[in-house]
Amino acid sequence: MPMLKYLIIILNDASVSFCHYESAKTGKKEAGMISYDNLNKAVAFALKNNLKVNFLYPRFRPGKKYEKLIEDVEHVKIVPRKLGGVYSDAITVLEAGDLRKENKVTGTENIILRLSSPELKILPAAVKEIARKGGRINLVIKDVENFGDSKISEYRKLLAEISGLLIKKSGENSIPEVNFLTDRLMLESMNNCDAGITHLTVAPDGRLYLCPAFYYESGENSIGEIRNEINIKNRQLLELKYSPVCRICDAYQCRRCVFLNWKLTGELNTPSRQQCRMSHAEREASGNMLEELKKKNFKGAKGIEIKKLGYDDPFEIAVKNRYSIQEFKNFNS
Amino acid sequence: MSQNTTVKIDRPGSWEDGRAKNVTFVVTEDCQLACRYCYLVGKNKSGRMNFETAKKAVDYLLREEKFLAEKSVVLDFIGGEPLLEIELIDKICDYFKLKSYELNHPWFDSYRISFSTNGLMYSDKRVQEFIRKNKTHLSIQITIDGTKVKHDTQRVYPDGRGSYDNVLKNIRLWTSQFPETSTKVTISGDDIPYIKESVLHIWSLGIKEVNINAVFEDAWKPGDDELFEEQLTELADEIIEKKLYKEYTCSFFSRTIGHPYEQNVNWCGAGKMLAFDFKGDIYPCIRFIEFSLQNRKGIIVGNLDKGIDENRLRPFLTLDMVSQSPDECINCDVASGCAWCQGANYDFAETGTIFRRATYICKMHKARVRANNYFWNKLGRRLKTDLRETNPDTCQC
Amino acid sequence: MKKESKRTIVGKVTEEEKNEIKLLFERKNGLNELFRSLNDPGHPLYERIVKDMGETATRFQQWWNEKRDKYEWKSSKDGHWEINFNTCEISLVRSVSKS
Repeated sequence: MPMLKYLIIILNDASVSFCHYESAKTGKKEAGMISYDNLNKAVAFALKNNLKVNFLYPRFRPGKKYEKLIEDVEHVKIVPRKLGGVYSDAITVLEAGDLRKENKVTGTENIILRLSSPELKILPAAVKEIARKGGRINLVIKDVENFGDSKISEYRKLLAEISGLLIKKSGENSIPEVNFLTDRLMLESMNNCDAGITHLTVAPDGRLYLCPAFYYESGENSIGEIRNEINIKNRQLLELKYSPVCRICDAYQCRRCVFLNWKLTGELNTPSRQQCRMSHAEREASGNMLEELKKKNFKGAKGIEIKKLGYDDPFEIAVKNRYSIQEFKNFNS
Repeated sequence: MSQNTTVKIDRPGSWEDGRAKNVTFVVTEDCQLACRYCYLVGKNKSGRMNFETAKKAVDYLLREEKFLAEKSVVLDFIGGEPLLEIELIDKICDYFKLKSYELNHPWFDSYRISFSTNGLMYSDKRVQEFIRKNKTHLSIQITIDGTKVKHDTQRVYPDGRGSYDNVLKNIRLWTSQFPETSTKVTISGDDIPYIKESVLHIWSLGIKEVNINAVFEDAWKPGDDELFEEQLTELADEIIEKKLYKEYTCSFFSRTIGHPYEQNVNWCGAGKMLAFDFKGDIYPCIRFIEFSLQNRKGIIVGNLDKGIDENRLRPFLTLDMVSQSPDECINCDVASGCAWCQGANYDFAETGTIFRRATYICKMHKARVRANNYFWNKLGRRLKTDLRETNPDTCQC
Repeated sequence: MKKESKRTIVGKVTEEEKNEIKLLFERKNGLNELFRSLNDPGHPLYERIVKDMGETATRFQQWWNEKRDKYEWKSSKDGHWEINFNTCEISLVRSVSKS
């Protein structure tokens, strides 16, 4: 079973969002800040448990005292565009509005790009730009819940277009990386977010959450205080083995966001129809792309096979063919 | 010897083998009784369905093509006490019949109307007229919990008076109208010593099928399982000595229970069935309506204006045994027949999930398995045949 | 002197044949009960229902006649046949005196 590897620490209520949730829009500089004591506790916890930290930054630099503490622990800074040039070791989160200024921002070879469905049309241009710089895009779609039939069909077209771009830019061993298309080319097993398993979040209130999204949804979602013995109730539901839909699925690039699961289906372990269909559209596009790349003698996806499927939502299979008890017992996370 | 004709004890009937769509109309959240074990913790006088809502529900059911996967339908009327709203129920059934006929809907040729009632209003003129109108499609179950002592221990009026005498008045009429009927008995703790005499008593009233459940709640004290086993063993002896197994059925004794699991199936049908409340909200079953829950909010999977949110049904439709059971249950040697209720699981779970099985019933199930083994082994010796059979993992709800 | 029913299995039909009569049986009952609910000659569906009732009753009887001829079941003046929908078995049910 995987163990805790890192902590996410939200420095301020208005810290940048790097995933499927929205953080607080406004926030006076000091008001929404995690207290120094709580930050100290969180950093100490990370140090004692050999955890790395992802710090989520607001639009301003925290004070010197805070920065000194941050530097005490191995970490990654995740910052909004405004701080993009400030830290050389940061990952920048860009929104649609930031993108046209993107080439002016230093330190943005690897970016997290948060877009809503109407903004996806700018994606090909962003991919071109990042490909030129040899960087990587991690796309986060902000409104997964809106992906009905017509949006899924548009998304499929977009994926095909971007696949074409990537194939053009690919070499014998390399391809510009965009998470939703190229991750699947490298994966032989699930590469999920694993919130609550490999990482936990410390919020500005000093308490622990499965991930930032749960904090922003409601403080009532806390899983407890920072302490040595962390007891996540019904933790097994975060594991792949306990998800009837996901454990039979090979859309390995899917983040399997437990927050979106919970929000849309009411259960942490059950993905929504939208999530599954988007991930399967991506998987299918990756498969098509792989076929084309093989024709070009691409060697960067050795041993990877992406078979054609007769469905676009593994839910259909989970309902039809019950997993056997033996398969469950043999399941290896 | 033919086992099926000679030994009837574990062969209850089920219409269309339980494959019909089960649709529950919660017509009222009110009841004349205040039964001590009742899971409907939030009964009230204000939650009453009106005809407009019920009509919308019928229209919705007949309109949606996805429901046609099930060739038959059971319209289940529940409360509270459903017969308090007999006039409404009558109107709903008339509307269903007319509409399904008008639309040439396949359910017109395959439907049943079902009630579970406390029986207090059974002889009411309006109820009797309703029965006359719908006789061939009707299944009515009156709950009588056993002997007067057992029944009145639990099934009481709000002032504490027992309801046995008033129910009994209607039992003869009911069994004469529905001779193949059954009743449902609930065991909840203090009533364990009355199990044997209660089953025999119910049979003596002409009710040939008794379905019994021990409650799923954390209601069991140390020693309850032993007492339970003792009662069932005594009942087993009585059934064998008096050859009652030829004519009567009792869900305590079944050839399918007490084996390791062979299949990964969910026990409960929540989500495959649907329940409508008076507000027009749709639930996976009545146990997910707020007035059925002690600790959690209701789980609404849709409403009659917007239809069903398929995402909310996905957990229910993919839920299987292994994903909700502790390892101890998955590996249990006597697992089959150990029941659970999805609504109760949700209510008792540490977090708001349906994927965690409550196991308060474990020791009681094991006691039942021992008594069940005793029954079939002893009966087999008497009849000079092996009556045990392998486990088909029958699924009931 | 009391009367009681005596039941003797006299034959069996195929699953398909059982399904035919089961559907007709359900429809016959459904139409009868719908008719009772409607009870209004002015209703736009009234004529259709009455016609349907007649046709269904005919088809129902026709099934029994056809199967009687096909299987040549044992019969009795004071008895009638019944089908068990679970087993497809046909029983001859006779009313006999009980002393």
